[in-house]
Amino acid sequence: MRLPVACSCGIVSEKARYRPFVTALNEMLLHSRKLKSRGDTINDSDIIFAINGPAILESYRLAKRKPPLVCLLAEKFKSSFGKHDSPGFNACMSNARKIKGNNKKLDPKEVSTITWGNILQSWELHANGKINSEMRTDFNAEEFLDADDDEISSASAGSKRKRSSPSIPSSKKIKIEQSLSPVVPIALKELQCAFYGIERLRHSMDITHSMSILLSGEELSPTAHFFDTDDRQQMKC
Amino acid sequence: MLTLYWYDSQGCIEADNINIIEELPLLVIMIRIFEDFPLGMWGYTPINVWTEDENQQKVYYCCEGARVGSFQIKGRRSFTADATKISAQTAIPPTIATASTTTPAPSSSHDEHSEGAQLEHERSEDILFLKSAWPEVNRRKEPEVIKEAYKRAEKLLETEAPSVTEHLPIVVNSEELTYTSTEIIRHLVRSTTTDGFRVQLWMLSKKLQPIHTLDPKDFWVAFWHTIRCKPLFFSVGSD
Repeated sequence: MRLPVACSCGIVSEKARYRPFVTALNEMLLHSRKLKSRGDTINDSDIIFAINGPAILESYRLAKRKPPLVCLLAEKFKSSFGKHDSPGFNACMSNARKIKGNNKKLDPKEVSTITWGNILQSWELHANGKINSEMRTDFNAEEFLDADDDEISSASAGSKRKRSSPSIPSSKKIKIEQSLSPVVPIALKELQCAFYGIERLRHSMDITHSMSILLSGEELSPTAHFFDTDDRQQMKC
Repeated sequence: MLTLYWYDSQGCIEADNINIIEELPLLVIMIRIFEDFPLGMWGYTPINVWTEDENQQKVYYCCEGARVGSFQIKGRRSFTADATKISAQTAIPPTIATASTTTPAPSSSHDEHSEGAQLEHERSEDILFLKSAWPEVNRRKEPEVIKEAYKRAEKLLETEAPSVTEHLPIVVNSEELTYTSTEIIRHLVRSTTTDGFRVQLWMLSKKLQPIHTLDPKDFWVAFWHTIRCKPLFFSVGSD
């Protein structure tokens, strides 16, 4: 799974990142299923990541915008885009990365079945520059899948995380060079994520909250920096 | 850099960034946690809207037609809709999302004329006005404010009381869904925010007749009644 992530991050063009990145995310899901000894059968709560292109969903507020990647229930994805010969999770994964690749127009009936209420999460991929590929990417699954409960729960809550990792000496960690800010004002991509969040919130009174993820490409400094756990952005409300 | 944003009625929470190359394990763990999310964690919390009948049995209602809320994050985020009674034959308590296609079961009366009139009457009785909103936890909730307005009007206005009470909603039932409080996630992420928490509240009330459907003569009577209601309403200290 590290190969498609590294491949995706190495692409300067935003649109070209979609396919390898959605593949990487779905590979992570597949790997997790294997660890749980799960077969190809899709359960009601299973999720899948898919490319939103040609656009399944768009926001027309202020400007026409669409999330590049979406997370939705695999069952919903299968019923909307699954072919007759694609009942399982692997086939859905294959379809999820082909929607864009085939560059075909979607059947209006297929598109109409997906609403903002069906989207569990929106992903915005905002490529601003190159990513230095010299840093370590050769992780093994075993290195992090045995993470203890504290690490998992704190990562889930988004709060300050444990920084120590047995495989990465803290002295080797690399800090993002903040001075290399993108030309586009940073508020725009954040605003765009908020649009997707609002579109989902307003869809139904049954929706209590929504989540969006922003992946912004930065040019990473080749210089290593030391930093401690307090040198992180804190939760903002 | 990967950033997760959480949006709810109180605003936005921005999580720490993850460098997906340097901290690839965190990305994989995050995806694994997402995989195990129940629908509630994704923000989908179906609401059961109900009242009690004369036998204290729950009667469920569902939305009629699709409704779209306002384009906002922070605030009351109100939704309004007509709510229709679900027939007693419905085995599973419906939710707002799933019951929109359910219709009340027809009567089996032999008299077609009276059957039609009765059905029409029952149908109008079966349609209520549903409002959902996200008021702040510490503020007085709408059903409570309405109840207080009735109380004050009857106590302070005496014979003029109907000029106010006839323009107030007749609340049939309401419920504050404490499990939707925005305080919960802020507590879990150890946010320093201590106020402004919001909670979802739904309210069912009798459906009022829109003023524009009245005959011209009745329209003007109703119009002046509403003008008259306003200062009387303020005089009893309600707003």
